[in-house]
Amino acid sequence: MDAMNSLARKLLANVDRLAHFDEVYAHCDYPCGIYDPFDAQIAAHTVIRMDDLIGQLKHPEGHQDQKEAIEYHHSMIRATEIKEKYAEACKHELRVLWGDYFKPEHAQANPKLHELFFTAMKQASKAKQTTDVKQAEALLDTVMQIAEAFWKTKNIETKRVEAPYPTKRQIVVPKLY
Amino acid sequence: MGLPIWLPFKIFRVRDRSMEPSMKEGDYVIVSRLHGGFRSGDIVVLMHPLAGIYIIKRIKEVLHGSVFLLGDNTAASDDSRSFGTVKTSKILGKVIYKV
Repeated sequence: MDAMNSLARKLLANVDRLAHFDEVYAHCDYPCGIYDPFDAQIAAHTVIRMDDLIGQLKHPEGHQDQKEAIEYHHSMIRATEIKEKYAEACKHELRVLWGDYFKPEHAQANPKLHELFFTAMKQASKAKQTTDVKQAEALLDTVMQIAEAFWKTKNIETKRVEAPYPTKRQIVVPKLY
Repeated sequence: MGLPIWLPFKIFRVRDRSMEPSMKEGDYVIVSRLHGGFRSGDIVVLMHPLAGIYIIKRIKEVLHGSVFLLGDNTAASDDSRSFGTVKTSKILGKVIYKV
């Protein structure tokens, strides 16, 4: 039977080279099954870090020293651009979790789930619009709640620990070991 | 290119691994348009209602004129839990042979 299968497979593979059979997918997204709220948290931390750095920039008085003025504007533009980029990256990661990973039964088990994502999306937009670090902190807090909700669907416990980043804020990690 | 539409059978090459172990990447499946109705456990091929690609799923439950579909790997599968039940008229056919 194995020999027959092998022969049939070879035959079909040869026909396929000429006829090009249609492909059928078991799953319409690729790669499948690999989801993690870690990147969303990293992105939220980056937004906080950029707000902190922007707050620490010293405005050159009177622009008398041209080099200082250039450095100031250069750093401000870079930090703002990175903040914008990572707030959007955070929204992207959240969209993938919300749209691809979470299923209706998850929302039934956790009635606050949709509200959490809705809030985080708004907070990420707000974090773009301002340099107020409180907005970015609010985003991180909601993203951490989403991370906890994510791991709960896999029956994996989590804990909040201080992240080893200059932000000195917390991050949710799964207790995998 | 697939086989001409008027043929009762159509051959597909399986992509990705989400139906493992029952279906593996590179397997060929012969799908029949001629069958005596659908039953729970049947593996069927249909066009994804949103993505516009052929997908392969297992029938979990037969309802009145429609079916509820699940992938074998439910943790990774995009199926009736996200796109709802599917009318049987939308199903291309049943897998009758895999090689």
